[in-house]
Amino acid sequence: MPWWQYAREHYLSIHNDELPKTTTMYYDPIVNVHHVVPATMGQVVAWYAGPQVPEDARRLFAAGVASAGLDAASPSVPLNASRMYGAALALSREWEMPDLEERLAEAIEASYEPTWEAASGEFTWGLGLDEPHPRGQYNAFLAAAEANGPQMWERLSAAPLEPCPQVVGVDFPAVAMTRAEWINDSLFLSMSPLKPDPSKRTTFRIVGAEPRLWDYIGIEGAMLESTASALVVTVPLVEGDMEFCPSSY
Amino acid sequence: MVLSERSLGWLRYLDRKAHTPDDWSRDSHPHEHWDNRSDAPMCSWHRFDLVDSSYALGLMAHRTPAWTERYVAILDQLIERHTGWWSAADWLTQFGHDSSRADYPDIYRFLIPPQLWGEYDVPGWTANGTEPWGLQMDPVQADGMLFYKGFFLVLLGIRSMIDSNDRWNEPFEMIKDGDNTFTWTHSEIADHLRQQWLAAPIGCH
Repeated sequence: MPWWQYAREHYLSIHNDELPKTTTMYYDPIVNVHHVVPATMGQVVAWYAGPQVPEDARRLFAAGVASAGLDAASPSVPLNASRMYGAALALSREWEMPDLEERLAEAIEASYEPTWEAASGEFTWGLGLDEPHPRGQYNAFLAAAEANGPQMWERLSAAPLEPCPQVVGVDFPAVAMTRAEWINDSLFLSMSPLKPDPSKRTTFRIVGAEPRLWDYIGIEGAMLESTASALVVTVPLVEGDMEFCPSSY
Repeated sequence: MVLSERSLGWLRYLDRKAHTPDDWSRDSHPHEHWDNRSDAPMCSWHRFDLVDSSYALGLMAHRTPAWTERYVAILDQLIERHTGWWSAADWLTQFGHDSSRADYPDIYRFLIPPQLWGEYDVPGWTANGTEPWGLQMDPVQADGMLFYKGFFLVLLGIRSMIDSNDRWNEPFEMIKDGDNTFTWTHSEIADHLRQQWLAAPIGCH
């Protein structure tokens, strides 16, 4: 990637043995000016570079963490509202840096007002901004950190999600699946209703699977109907696990 | 893998936000819950909320790979908005040099070389129409506007990575403002940016 080779040397200065203390945010070719900023901002750049050039991104992240003083000490709280801490937390989980992750998570928890809306089941971060709507860009990075895990961000970019039979027609947001994955031809689901009510039932379908009989274990009272296009599942509106195993034809 | 309770709660929030109808055409305005306030003057545009919100969706899809319909539905809402006029409101309103650059707030000093203070557009000012490039109304085709097409490709790319339905590789219209209506596909945008970068490793400007 010629553009990256150019950027790492001329803009990010991560080609030397020593970690950079500053990086170029913008380069203006008309007046030949580099807009230089502290390497701290490299933590956000590392988020975007990570999936494509992980080793360079880790060097850039290390420079950013050192520049911000996060390599050895916890940040002062309350944190200013920023995308940087969410990005750093996400990358600490991506690259399995538990000490840094713990320091960041504690500071974020103490500073960014994690907030549940009981009626809607919605979760956001207020970030201490006292605004009518959660600040979208900063929330987005914090949500990415919440969802991320080891090498997950890199995997997302490396290859398309492997196609598999899908659960569809879930009555979201009243119902959601917190686990939905195939392991050795069996489907494992964990259902999480917003307001569980065993007197009510909800229906979803499993499409793309081979038409056949299925053995089922899990939430009691489930009804399975196999059609030409789907396995239709009707189940009491309760929280619980379900497992669908291939049976005879 | 599982989706955490917090991830599920944020998914509920983003789902409602993305499915609340609003209008990103020039004569209307995005709903105020879309963030055009963060990190001025470079990121304080609604489109950054669209793009940034996609990261968690892609990651969540890897946690529940057999249930992705909701992530894809939200991503389509985000992408659809990114084809509207307001997605490029900076490029389509910031023509020439910034007439207020002599009056910038002091906080911009860390963004502008001292010797150019007062005579220089702050990073983030798109300056559409300045020479040698001239006026270019299509933010994708333009010589500059890297931070528009690059981030849009991230959004489109995440969607393409979690759903095999290649909806956004069918031609779609962008900006949609009379003569300023431009037709692209995901792959065409990616190829265009690739060609721009091959031609200029120093980057688009």
